[in-house]
Amino acid sequence: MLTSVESAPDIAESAASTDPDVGLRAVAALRALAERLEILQVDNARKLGWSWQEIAGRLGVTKQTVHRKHAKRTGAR
Amino acid sequence: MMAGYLTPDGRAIAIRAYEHAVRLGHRYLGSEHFLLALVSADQPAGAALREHGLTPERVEEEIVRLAVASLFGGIDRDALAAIGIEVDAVRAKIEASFGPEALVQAGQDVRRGPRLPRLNPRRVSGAWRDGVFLPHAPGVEQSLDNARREAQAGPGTQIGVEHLALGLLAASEGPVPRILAALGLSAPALRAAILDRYRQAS
Repeated sequence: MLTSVESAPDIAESAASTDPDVGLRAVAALRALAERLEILQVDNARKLGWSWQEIAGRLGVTKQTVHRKHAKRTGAR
Repeated sequence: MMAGYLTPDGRAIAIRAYEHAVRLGHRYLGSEHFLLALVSADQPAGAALREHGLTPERVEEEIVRLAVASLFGGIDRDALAAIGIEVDAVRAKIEASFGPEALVQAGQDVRRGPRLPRLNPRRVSGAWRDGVFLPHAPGVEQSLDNARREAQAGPGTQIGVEHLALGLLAASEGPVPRILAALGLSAPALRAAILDRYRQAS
């Protein structure tokens, strides 16, 4: 675990960076990553028989939102 | 497809390729499916490829890896590393927990290609089976053209398993070159191995 201790200051430095270029890019990338994981997780939940209501509840959005976003894609399967 | 141009064994490969595409949840027929069918086949070409390390397991692993790469493609890793998120760590966890089908499906959904069911099969090349049409992905036409040429260079005119194999190896489009490179294999060496195998057989 020595390596994580060593790299911790680097990360803290970047996270605390007030440089908008670093910070904003990180936010955008995080959003992109969340989008990809959402697709994977929603597909999987639907395959396991979860209802749109249940999925929406976990994602913290309305059933309409999650349905509008994902139903077209997963609907045919 | 071009059923009449394929030998019965060649046709069996095309059918197996289609079945692999369906099993993996792909909405297209790709040269990677033909490759998977070939290396799984109980045929000299399949045996020659397997002997050189191109096994069904490894090909399928690479297909899944390509899907995962597309799932995480275009994400700014450096930006995420700056806030302490290692994309490769996330990716490794995902790859370990989800099956090939889930990864392939999500990988395709991220890419958001054309709405394939709306394509007109009469204007797009592909394969029909059990009422489901899968369009050919880039690389398939080129591989089949190559295979046709390989067949015409021989005594017969029908495309056999070995011609399909040689045709796939010679293709520059599609994922086959990437799969071979990832496994550290050279297409010319594999081609030589196949030709050797058939020379011995004849």
